[in-house]
Amino acid sequence: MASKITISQYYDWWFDNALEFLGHLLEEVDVSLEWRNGIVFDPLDLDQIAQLVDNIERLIKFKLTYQKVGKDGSHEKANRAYLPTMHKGKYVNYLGKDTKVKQEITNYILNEKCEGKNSKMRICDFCMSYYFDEFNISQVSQTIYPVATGSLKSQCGVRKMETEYHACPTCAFLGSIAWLDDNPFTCDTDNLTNYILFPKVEDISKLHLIKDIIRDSVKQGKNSNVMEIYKGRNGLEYERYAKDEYSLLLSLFEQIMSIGYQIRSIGYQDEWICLGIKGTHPTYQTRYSYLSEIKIPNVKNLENIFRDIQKPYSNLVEKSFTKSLVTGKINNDLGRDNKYLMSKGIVMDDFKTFARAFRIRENCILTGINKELLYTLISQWRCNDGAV
Amino acid sequence: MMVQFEHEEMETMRKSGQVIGKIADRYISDLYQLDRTRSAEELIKQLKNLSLRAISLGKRSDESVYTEPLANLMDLINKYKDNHDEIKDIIIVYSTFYLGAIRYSNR
Repeated sequence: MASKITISQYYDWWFDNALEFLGHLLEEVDVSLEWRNGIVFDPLDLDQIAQLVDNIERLIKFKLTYQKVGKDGSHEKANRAYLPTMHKGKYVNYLGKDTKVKQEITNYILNEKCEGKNSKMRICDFCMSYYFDEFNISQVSQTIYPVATGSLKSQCGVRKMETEYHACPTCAFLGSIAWLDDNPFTCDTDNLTNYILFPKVEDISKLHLIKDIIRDSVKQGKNSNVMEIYKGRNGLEYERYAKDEYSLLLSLFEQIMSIGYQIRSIGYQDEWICLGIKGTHPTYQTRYSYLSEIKIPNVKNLENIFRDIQKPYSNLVEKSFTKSLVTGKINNDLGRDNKYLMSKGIVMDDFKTFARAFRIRENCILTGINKELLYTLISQWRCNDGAV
Repeated sequence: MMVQFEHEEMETMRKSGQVIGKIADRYISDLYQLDRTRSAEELIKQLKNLSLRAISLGKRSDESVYTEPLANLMDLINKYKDNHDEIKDIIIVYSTFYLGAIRYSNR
């Protein structure tokens, strides 16, 4: 029996999530593994590797595309172009290789990773191990690490530092498969920004428990995988989804609760990382990506709010709209801004931000708020005994 | 840490919001000015203006507008002088909500 294989934790939000996802994939092909500062598992046989690569290829087709409905009602598969997984219409890095090569790479990473060093080997910029670039996947782009700089000095704004990074096959593999994971995301189609949420957890076994619950609660959708489906007046089903990171977090909690969990069952997870990817119009390619952290100051208070008004996002924030007092027209720009302010206020326990949504600006007024819910929310939030 | 108010105090703020929303339906600039106040004194001054507005509004139209909540609110602001901003936030939320309800109640 060959010895066990260990891939240790990176203590980095992106690679830890990717490693957890690899563990999840391995569990699906019946590999017994332990979560111990990383993942520890038995070597895979060729059947299992073929199955694993098969699963990954299925996920590439499934996760990186969506069903697009054309103007004439035709359905076609369209790529999620805003993700930095493509270049000139082709998948890049590990994702773009043939099945055969994918199997070779996977086999190399999971089974026969050679140890030791000689002068021809390079050092991986992420995990500091020595490697050979056998498969031509080691150039780091946004596919591997979404906040990596570009490789052109004149364009990426970094002139005195190294702009090109290199990763070992393991890091390249992990970084590229992380796009296939069920991370809660939403897309604001008006300003072409995508938000993806990651729980920030150091302990990978705890991360695994949280992400399993998240996997259960997300759905498949075109612009978001955290959404509410409702029936319109004509009987057709529509999606209602959040348009910014705080609303996304609120609706994620709603989804988690709707499948029977509580905020305490994900361990009062209060630290989240939000990756924002901004695209441009004509090509819808990535313009820039940025990272922000959301630390919920008072999770227990948030739980009380969820207890009193079951769905603060879908029933209160999402139903609001902003109207002009003069013309009576709906102002969508301000409406989006107001929803953002309300969600941010609720999540960050900041009444001032929440109240900013209610200020009359540009002669536009926030309306469509449910009276009972608003009373309950404000009493819960600002009153001593919390009673209505 | 935010101030936690008593139940009666919340009721005072809610009722004041109702009154201010009613006034703002006619005189929207009064609500703008309330939003623009920067100190407890200014806030009280603007509330006095609003009370006068309410009285004149009550004389002109059939329905009367009560000014009692506004008087209680001024006492409340004197009590929490250092946190007048938080009281203002809550009043703004309620006023805007009631104004919206008056304007678009048919929906």
